[in-house]
Amino acid sequence: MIEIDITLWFTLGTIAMALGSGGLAYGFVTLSSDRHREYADVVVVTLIATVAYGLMALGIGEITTATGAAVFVPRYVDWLLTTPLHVVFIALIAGAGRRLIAKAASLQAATIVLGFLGALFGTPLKELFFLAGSLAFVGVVYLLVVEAENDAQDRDDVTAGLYRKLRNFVIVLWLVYPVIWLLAPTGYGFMDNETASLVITYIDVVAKVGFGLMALNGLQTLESFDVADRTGYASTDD
Amino acid sequence: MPEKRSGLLPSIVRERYTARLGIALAFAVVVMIAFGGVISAQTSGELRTDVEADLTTQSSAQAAQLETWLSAVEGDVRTTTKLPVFASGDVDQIDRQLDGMVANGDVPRDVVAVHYLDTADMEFLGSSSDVMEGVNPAEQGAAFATDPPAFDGPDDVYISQPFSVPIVDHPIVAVLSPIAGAEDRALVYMIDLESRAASLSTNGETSTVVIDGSGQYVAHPNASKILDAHNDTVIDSVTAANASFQRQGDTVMGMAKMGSHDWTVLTQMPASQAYALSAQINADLLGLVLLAVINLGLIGVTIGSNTALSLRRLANRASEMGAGDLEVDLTTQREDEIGTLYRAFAEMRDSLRAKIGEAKTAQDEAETARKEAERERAEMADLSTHLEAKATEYSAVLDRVADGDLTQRVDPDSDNDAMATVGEELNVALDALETTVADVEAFAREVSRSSDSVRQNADRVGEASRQVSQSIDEIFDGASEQSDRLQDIAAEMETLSASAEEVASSAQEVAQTSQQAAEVGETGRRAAEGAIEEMHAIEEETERTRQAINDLDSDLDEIGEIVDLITEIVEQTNMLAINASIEAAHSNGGEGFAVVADEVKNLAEETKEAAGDIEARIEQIQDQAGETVETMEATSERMAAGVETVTETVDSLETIVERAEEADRGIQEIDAATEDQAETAQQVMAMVDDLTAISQQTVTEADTVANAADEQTDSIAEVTASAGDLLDRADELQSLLDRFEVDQSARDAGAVATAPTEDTA
Repeated sequence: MIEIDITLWFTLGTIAMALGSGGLAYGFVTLSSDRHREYADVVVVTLIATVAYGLMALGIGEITTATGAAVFVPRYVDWLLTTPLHVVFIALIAGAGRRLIAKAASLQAATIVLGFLGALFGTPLKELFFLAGSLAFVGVVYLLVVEAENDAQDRDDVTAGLYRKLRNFVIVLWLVYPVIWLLAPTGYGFMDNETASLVITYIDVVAKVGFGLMALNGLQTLESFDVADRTGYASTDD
Repeated sequence: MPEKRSGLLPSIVRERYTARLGIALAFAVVVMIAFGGVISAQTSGELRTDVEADLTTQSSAQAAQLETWLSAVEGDVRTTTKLPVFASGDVDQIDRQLDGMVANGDVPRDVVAVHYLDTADMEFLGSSSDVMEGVNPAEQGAAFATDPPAFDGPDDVYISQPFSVPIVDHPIVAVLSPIAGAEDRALVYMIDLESRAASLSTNGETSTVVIDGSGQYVAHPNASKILDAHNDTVIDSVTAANASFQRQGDTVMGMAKMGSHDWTVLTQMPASQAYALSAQINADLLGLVLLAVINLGLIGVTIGSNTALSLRRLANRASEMGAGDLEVDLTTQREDEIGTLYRAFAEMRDSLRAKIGEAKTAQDEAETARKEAERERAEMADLSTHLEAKATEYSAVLDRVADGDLTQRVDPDSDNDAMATVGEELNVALDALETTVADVEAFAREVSRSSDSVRQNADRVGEASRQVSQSIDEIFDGASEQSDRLQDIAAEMETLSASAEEVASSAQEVAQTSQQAAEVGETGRRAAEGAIEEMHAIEEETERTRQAINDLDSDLDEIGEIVDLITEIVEQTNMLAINASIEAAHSNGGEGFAVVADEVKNLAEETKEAAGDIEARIEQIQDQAGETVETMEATSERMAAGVETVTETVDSLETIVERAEEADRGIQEIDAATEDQAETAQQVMAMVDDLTAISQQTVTEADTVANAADEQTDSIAEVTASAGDLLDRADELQSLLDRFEVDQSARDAGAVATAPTEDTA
């Protein structure tokens, strides 16, 4: 009899991420080689998540915070690496410049770091870090929704559509994270660690594998439309 | 149509599918959260009630249990005090009794020691515990000793306040009861509160504490807490009749007051523990809500966003199509209704494109036609100007041509084909005209030359004729002389018969005369032969002239054909001119062209007239030539007759010569044989008579020949006159043609054309 506890969720998360990585890696076959580099972004994301979930399933990297809540370090390391990668991918699809990409990725990394700090400390530092992290995330949202949109409007509308879809996907899903964070023991503990981990595992799988699938589908669509300009930094005069 | 629609939703929501979907999903989330809240509230309330009931029940039960136990202790004490051994006062026995009671477990649970107390001295006289014997509880500070109870009777039982004494390592509650039948003696049951508390309390997280009336712990899971003051006063409200529930900080507790004692039993547990299930359910509910939110968000951003993006893209495409861009890309990978919609739009676009393409083609055609018309109008204007200029140019050239310069050519290089054709045809006509005129000139020259030649020949024939005539005259003269001589011979012969001597001499004379006659005859014969030769020459000359004239006739026929050709060309030119006039009439403002056409027409008519003139003249020449030929033929015939006559004359003359020789020989014979002279004279007479007759005939013949020669001479003169006339006509024609200036090449061409005539001339 499998025991329904946090390890189960992490194990399921590991399996899902591994399957997702495999499935997405197969996507390389369907894409032309000049899209492989950008597509590698989303596959690397699921691979990192697979490793992180594997570690958590093995019970490695769990620390107890000042408030007595358990915090999983691999999860934050995962987020610290993968969420900026997602931001970079979206910004690349939008055809944003290096500066914008660097800014958005840095802010996203800061969001995770601040969230981690918030989880470690108790009130009032917790709220302070949470607010700072939220502000950083608002910055990311602003950069992706407003500034990258300006760049995306110069793209063909298939690419721009893919950008908007991925952006909306990420923003809507990522808006759930702070809510979970607040409800979970890292925040105010309305949810126990198990439930929170279940929810986080689910949303992680959806956000990473789902994102990867949408990106793959989108890139395939772009290829089928034979959109001339790549999602690189070059020609945005479309 | 800015139709104002007042809906329940704000316009920003009404106008955006994503907003609608977002609102719907948000509504779903809100409903879920609300229902989750309701479930949470219901289950939490239920669970709270359960926990309350559970805890109060537990506290009541514990209180009851404690009550029962205390009662048991009281009962036991009461019963024990009634034992006779205690009333005896025998300390040793009592001590043994006490030891045995405790050791055998004859005391209620948690009673750890029983003492035999001297209440007056406050000293344990005996005890189940040896160390306690002789101990003064008052000194130890035992509650019952410091504040000794007053017993109403032997059944009275006193339960002391909890206390601790140095000699005992655990808090104690003492239960005292006076011993019946003994003064100032009491039995003291010492209850180990720690043990009691331990037995009371805990199953799981639930702990039970007992607080006495003075507010200190009687029992507590944490032994060290026993006898500490309970810092809360809420227990005052608790009555024995109803147990109550209370939450203090993180602890929830059920409280029940014991009926017999001023003790309160608190069954308490940490709130988190008590409400763990509720919290778990709430957490799970939250998790469920979050998962639902995530999934709804997913639906929103995938299906909703996809649909919205697809529809917006389609809307943009449709707008672009509306704006006229029918090249919009309407391909989609979707295969659902939106894919169908895209394909329907694509079909619509293709259909529109086809329709608009058709319309555009029609419009383009109309535009092209309009432009064509404009261009044609401009071209017409240009053409008209061009035609006018061209016409003026043609007119100038034609004027110069009319002035006789046939080397002039129009420049047919024109944008207008008809004009170019007119120009080319005009040039062809002018070429033909020039060539013709050159031909005619060459022919005229040739005729002139031929006529000259004919005249010269005729002159030569005339000369020959005159010589013939002269010769014939000479013949005639000779013949006459011969005749005279013959008459002389006859006379002489008559004289001969008279005189033989005379005959001999006469014969000598006759022989001489005969010799002369033979010589004269020979001369006559030679003259006649010369005449014949001359006449043959004349005949040949005449034949050649006749042939020349016949050639001339055929040349004239050729000229007639050429003139016919010219007439035809002229008629074509005339037709062209008429066509050009019609063209000019069609093209507005082609008056100049019409003028040219008229000019061309006039020129053609003039040319036609000139050609007619030439034809008439050629016919005249032909008639003349015919006459000449006839005359020449007649001459030729007469010549032949003359030749015949002359030949006959020659024959006669030969005969004369022969006869004269014969006469000579006869005279020689006469001379030799005078004997036969008479006969011979007779024969000679007859011969002379024959000779005379022949001579007479010769004279007559010569006269006829002379007449023929004269006639021939007349004919030749006539030929000469005709040839001169022809020459005059040819000269006249040439002077008529000299008016036309023709190019050297045309002249050469004309010369070549007439060359065969020269060869046969």
